[in-house]
Amino acid sequence: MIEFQGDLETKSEEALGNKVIGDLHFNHEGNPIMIIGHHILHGKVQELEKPLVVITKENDDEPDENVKYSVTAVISKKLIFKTRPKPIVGEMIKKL
Amino acid sequence: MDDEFPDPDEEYEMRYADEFEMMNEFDFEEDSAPILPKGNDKKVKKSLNFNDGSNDSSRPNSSMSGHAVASSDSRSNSRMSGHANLTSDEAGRKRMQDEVFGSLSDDEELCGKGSNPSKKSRNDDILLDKCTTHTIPDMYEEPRAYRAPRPKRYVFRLVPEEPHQCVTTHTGQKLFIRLKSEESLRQREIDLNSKSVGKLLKVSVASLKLQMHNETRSKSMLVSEEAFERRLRELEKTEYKIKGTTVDDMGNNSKNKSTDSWMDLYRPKNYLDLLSEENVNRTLLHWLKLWDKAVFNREVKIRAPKIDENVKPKWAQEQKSAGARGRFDNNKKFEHKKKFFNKNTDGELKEELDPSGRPIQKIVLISGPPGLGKTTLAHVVAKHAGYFPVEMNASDDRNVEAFKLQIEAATQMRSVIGANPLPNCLIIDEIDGAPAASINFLVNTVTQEGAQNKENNQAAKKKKKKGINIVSRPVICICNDLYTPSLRPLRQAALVLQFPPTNPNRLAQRLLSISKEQDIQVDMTTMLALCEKAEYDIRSCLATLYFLKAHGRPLRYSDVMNLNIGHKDSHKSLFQVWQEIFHIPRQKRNQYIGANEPEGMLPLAPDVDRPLAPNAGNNASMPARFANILHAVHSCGEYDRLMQGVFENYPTIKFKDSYLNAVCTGLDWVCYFDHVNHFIQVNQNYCVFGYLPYAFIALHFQLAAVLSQKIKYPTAQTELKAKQGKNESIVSTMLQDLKPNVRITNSKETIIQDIIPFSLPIITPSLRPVSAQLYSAEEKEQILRVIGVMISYNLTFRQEKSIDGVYRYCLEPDVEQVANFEIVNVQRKSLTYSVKQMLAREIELEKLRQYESNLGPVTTPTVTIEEIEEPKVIKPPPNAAMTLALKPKPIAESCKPATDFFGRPLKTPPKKKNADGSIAKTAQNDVWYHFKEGYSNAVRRNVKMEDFI
Repeated sequence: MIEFQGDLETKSEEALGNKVIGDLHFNHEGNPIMIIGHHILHGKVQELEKPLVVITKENDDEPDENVKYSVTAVISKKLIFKTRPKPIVGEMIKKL
Repeated sequence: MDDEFPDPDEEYEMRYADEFEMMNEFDFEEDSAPILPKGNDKKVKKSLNFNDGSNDSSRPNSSMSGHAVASSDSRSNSRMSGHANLTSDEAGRKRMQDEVFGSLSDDEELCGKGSNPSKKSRNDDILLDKCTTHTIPDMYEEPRAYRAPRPKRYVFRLVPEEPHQCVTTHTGQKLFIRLKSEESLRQREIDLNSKSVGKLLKVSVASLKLQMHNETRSKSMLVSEEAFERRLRELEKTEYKIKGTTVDDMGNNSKNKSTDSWMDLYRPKNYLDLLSEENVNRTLLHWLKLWDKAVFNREVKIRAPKIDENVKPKWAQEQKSAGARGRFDNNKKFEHKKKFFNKNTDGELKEELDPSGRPIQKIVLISGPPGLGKTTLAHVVAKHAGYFPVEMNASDDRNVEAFKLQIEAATQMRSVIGANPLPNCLIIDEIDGAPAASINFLVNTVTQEGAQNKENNQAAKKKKKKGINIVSRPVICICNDLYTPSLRPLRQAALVLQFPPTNPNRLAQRLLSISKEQDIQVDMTTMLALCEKAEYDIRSCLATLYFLKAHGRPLRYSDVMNLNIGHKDSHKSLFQVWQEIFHIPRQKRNQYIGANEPEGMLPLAPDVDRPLAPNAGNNASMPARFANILHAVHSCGEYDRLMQGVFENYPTIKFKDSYLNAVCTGLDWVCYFDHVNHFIQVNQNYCVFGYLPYAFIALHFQLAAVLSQKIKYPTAQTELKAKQGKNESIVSTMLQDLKPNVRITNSKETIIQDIIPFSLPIITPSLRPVSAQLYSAEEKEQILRVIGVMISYNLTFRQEKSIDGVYRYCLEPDVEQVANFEIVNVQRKSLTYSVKQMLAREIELEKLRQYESNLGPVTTPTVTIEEIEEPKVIKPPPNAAMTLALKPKPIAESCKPATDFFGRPLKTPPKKKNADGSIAKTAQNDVWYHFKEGYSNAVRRNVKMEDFI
């Protein structure tokens, strides 16, 4: 799970789904680095106090009482990016 | 010719007429022999030697040599046989002659001086002469004496065929200077070896031996005399002993004391014993008395300007008593001096006191030659005025700290121990040996505080602080040389007393009384002579007397004259020595040459050394000049500086030397000096150091002139050294940024010698003074070539503002300075301001272009001037792409290999490509991040589930 302090925006009106947002890297200390557009974000890994469970509803089409949920994942950690992002300025061409 | 003059006598005359003529024509014939080709050399040399043997001609190699060989050859085969190489058979001899003459005539033609066609034939005639007439040898030698010796020619305008060195004067005229052949050098070496072995001494060994012999003889005579006298004296003494014991006691006393140095023994005990000039003594004493208020808190008696009857200072009373005791025999003289009391001494005593009660001049500086009793005077006067003299030697305490400590200790403290503690009086001896810093300190401490006291209203606090430091004791400084540079501040602040030489009569009288006390039998004239010889140096006189006493026999005038008296500290300035070296002294009154002799030289006794005696008193005689120069150089000691001065000044000296022989010899000596000095410096071996001063003597004899010349201090070496350093730095800056491929083939030497001088004309093309657009293609090409050269040698033009405010372009680095000599005032072509400006701009552009193309090797630019400017305008701005280049992939794309950029046609496509790439990338990274400021936990409250439901 990734937590941002901020919004992800896009020029086009399309929804963000299925789009590449940016690159996620981990540095050698294990801290995550996110690169989105012109920004680079440094974040950290946090243990969740209470782990979350990702569930999917089975047999969705039947709105009867025997609805089943299956656990697809347990989220025990999150990546949190709450610092101010740093802009990436392209390297200046070396002066002559 | 032979046929015309059958009579042998006439024939010889004729031949000599011929030869005389030849002499005139071959005016450098003499030297032709050594310059002959190798094969001839040997034989000619032989003949020369032979020639020397047969007659005492002072000129060993002459044009006659050939004849001499020919004639004497047959005359004395026995002598010839000594020379092993010579063949005795007639044919060989003839060939030799032929060779000799052949070469002579060759030379004559080569020298380019009026070669006439008949010469060859005449030589042949002479040959024939010899073959027929070598039966009459004696006549042959005679006419040689008539020949006026003609100086050799060294300088030619036309090309001589001998070894020569071509020289171009600054006017462009070419001259040819003959080189000395090795043969002549060898000849000279032989001369040197055969000559003077012990020439370094002024006196020949033989005369020294004679002198020794004479001395031993006279000594033995004296011994017998002495033996007689001693017996007489012993007899007398025994008589005294019988008479009474008092005499005996005195004798004992003097014997005991004689172990002490006489200097201490006969040091003046009180003011009246002083031998020095009375007015100096009095001035000093009076000055010390002025300190009374500050030191003893007594009222100072200041003399009324004119009448000093009422307030008679102490010295006046002393004068009375002195007169009574007969110390001052010449009262009139004394009065006379008194009149000039203040005028005589150059430093005038100011009698006012400053507010702190001290005299205005707080220091006395006594100067004068050594041994006159300056230190003694200071001590005696200080004691007399009621002070305790504290002596410090400035040359011992050389660092400022030690000096400061000493001064403070002496001027502010007071001896507590002792029955009657006296205030100190600081006597600084040999202050000229102290460093300038400590002298400055002394002057400051003594004078500055006086000024502070004056303004004590303003700086009351300061005064309290520093008031402790007030120098409240008199300071007496003593020096030998008043005009030492470091003494300048002191000289201005102090009361300067110059010490005149001691009155010889008084000195002699004192010496006489001393010698009487010491049982030396001596008379007044001898004493006067001794005084004169020691140059009125009391110390030296006493030491000499002490020394002579050891002989234990009566002193005579001749003994004194034969003495060598060493001088203490007699020091001559550089300029004095240079003057002496370049000046031939005129005949002067008699002088004791011996007095000028340095220590270690052998005595030059006038009565023993007969050959020198007539000249001995003559200042202008050779030995005297020799001795004088040697002494002067010894006393100066700075041989390096001296030699520099001589070397730089000799061209301005007007000595007679029309054929530059003296200069040649002189410079040989300079080389010798250099060699010896080099040896000393390299090996740190000072055993040859003693030979250095003799070079100056040789130079004196070569280069001195009667007229005294103005001598300048040698500065050329330092100037040239500075210039050399500057030029070297220019070249090294040039080398530093040189392109490696240029640098690799150029060492520093080649750059200086082969590249810079010749590149200067290359980079100054001749261009019409029109604007750059109007240049023809040829001119453009020329400019490009120049630019190429300048870039590859890292040269450019730099704008510079000259002193008069005019802007001009000069080369950067300024290699023109390296290549151009100031002496050469040849008009050099130089570019106009605008052209230089244009070139500088083009060079910059070209450099940019080369950088862009990232090309290592410098190629001659293929673009014309107009085109050069284009790349800068169209220079692709890769910034847009680069800023977005987040991933390594696009970066690599933008940093394409330079070859893509290289060609002009490729310039636009890559740009477009780049633009495309960047557009694609921005589309890819459409999503961006919008950061919300603040903390996520800024507002936090508990919310219950119920609230939602």
